[in-house]
Amino acid sequence: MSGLMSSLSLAARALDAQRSGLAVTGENIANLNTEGYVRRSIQLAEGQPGAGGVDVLGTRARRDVMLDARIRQELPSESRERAIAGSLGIVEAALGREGESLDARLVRFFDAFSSLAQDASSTVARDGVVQQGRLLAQSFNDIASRLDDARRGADAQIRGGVADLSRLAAQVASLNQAISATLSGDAEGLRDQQAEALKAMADLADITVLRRGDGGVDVTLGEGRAIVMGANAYALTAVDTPPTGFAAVELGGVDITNEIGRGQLSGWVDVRDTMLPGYASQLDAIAFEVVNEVNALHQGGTDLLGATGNNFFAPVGGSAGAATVMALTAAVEADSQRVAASQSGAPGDNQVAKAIAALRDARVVGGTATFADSWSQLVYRVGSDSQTAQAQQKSRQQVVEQVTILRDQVSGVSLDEEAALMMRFQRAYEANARYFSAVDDMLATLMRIVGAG
Amino acid sequence: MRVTFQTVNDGIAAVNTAAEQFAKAQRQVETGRRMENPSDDPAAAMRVIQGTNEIATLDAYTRANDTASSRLTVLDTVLGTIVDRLSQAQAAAAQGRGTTADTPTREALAAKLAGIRDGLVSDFNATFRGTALFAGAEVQATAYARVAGVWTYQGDASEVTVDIGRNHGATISLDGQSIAKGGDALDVFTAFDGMITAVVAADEAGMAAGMDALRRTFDRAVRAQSLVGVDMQGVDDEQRNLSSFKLANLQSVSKDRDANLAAAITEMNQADTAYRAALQAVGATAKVSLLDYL
Repeated sequence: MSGLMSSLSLAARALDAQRSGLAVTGENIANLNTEGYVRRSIQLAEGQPGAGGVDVLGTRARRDVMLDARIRQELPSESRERAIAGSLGIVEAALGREGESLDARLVRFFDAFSSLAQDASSTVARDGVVQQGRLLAQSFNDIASRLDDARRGADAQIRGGVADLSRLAAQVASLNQAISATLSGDAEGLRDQQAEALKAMADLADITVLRRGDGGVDVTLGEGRAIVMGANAYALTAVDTPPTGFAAVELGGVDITNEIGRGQLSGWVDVRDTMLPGYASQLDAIAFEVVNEVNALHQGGTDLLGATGNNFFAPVGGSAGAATVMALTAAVEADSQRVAASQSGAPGDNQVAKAIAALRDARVVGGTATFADSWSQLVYRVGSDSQTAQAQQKSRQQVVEQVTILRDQVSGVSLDEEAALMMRFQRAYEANARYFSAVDDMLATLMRIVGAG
Repeated sequence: MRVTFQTVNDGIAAVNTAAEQFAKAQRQVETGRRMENPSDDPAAAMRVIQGTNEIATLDAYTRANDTASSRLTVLDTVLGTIVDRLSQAQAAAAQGRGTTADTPTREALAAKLAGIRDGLVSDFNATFRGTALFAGAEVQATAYARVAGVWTYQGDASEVTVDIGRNHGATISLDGQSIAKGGDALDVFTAFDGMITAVVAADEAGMAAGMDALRRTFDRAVRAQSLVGVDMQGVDDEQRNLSSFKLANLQSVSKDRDANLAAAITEMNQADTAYRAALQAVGATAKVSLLDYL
């Protein structure tokens, strides 16, 4: 009798075990589309000697810490290039299409002087020169402004990235606390969230993660600067720096902007502080040379009113910012008769107009390049930087994808596998139920015999 | 290897890639341009800028050529007329020499010479599109006018040239005085006046001096016309060069900038096929499940 009762107990525990297995499978299927979810499996063990049957030891997350770490290691390089490629895509658009942007404006400007040279006394040709000069200056202004906008855009992204990184650091610290508090319980859900938060942090910057004995993690950034220590998070701040007002990334009052080597933050910083200033400087150099070269020739000429020594463009102090401030002089803007086309002062003399028109072929930028060459070099530089970033991003993305596939092979949920497990647990439950029923029948038979006796 | 549900996401990424390729090829077909951004081919973008700039420069020279050509044609015609008038004047003056001509004949010859002189003045004061042809850079001035009874040149000594190519110019406005006077003490109009007086007065020496002046002016006009002819020839040669240079540059730019439509359409079809295949693959992957068989 006691044997049958223990068999009943064994069958009941077995039913519980199979039901638990089915519940784990259900949980896996439920989280099929949950980002960062690591599949769970039930751990069953043979029952204790004497009790027999099956015991549920618990559930285990199929987590591969090495692969998670590898993803965090590869991701910052990919995200850095992604950030650069994204920002430079906007810069490429800002430069306009080849043959339809500043190069076309330069062409039309020198064409206007060429037309003036064909009839130096023509007021229509003079108006054309003023109009094209104004449009050329506006074109320089527009592109300089777009480059500045792109810098401000990158700065805004840096500020957003810093805020996200601080928020994620606080989240990881909070999870650390929760994980250490539930060390004996089921903390796998919290660990999933922890892994996702760390991945998001690695997307922003090249963090270093150190595992703690209590299941938590410490996170450092740059030259080993802690941003998470157990339950404590140290917030990063974006601090305005003069004279540009752009944000420097500070941690505990220390500027760590240049310590961030990889991740989106590093890409945005590179775009804002290195690439875009370089492009703007090249644009300024072209504008500066246009202003100087045209003015030098124009000053040597005589306008229709007999005045000499006047500028065509408003003089600029230096190359820095020349594209931003480039403009016609007020006198030329107001009266096209102020355009000096003549050397001698005779209305038909076109020496100066011809000389300015010939500047289109002059190698005056850096002493080696024409204005068009210099512009094409700037376009090449932006295109080449963007292409390199895109190529690097694709190549690094493939590495991240490969590691992610490896991780998914271990941690991902397979619907077919879960379906098979579901069937397994269902059948096992049915078999155990039959066993329970058989033992119950035997007990009933025994009870009838005992009752009849 | 375990195949996880992530396979569906990978399939969706493949669908996106194929759709992206399709869109790119479609944009090439729509716009006819190979490159959308400089990053598609930075070196080609640089070459296109340099090529289009060169084409624009050649176009500017072509326009200058057209203007110069029209102006040179007019100059050539006017100089031809000047040469003809000077020949007529020489012939008329020759009739006045010797003792055979009576007074009415001399007066008639004088009137004829005055008419030729006036025509010549008109030739030297010719304009093209409102600007003088023989006043040097003083294109808005009348080249010759009688001021206080004296023939006065109101232009200047410079000649206006336009660039019709790199290092190649054409003169579009001449120094009228260098033709009408040259190195002489008097200009041709004053010489005409003196000769008219000499014809009426049967002044052989005066007529001879006047004819010498006409001959020298004739020579200078012929020389000026031949220089205009050289410029016209130069314009023709330059136009041919510009045309062939432009064609070569257009071909080069087109190679870098324009889409190969046949290739783009083929790519579009391939991308379309890949897109459909990727869609079917995703559909099949998502559809087939062990759950359907349990």
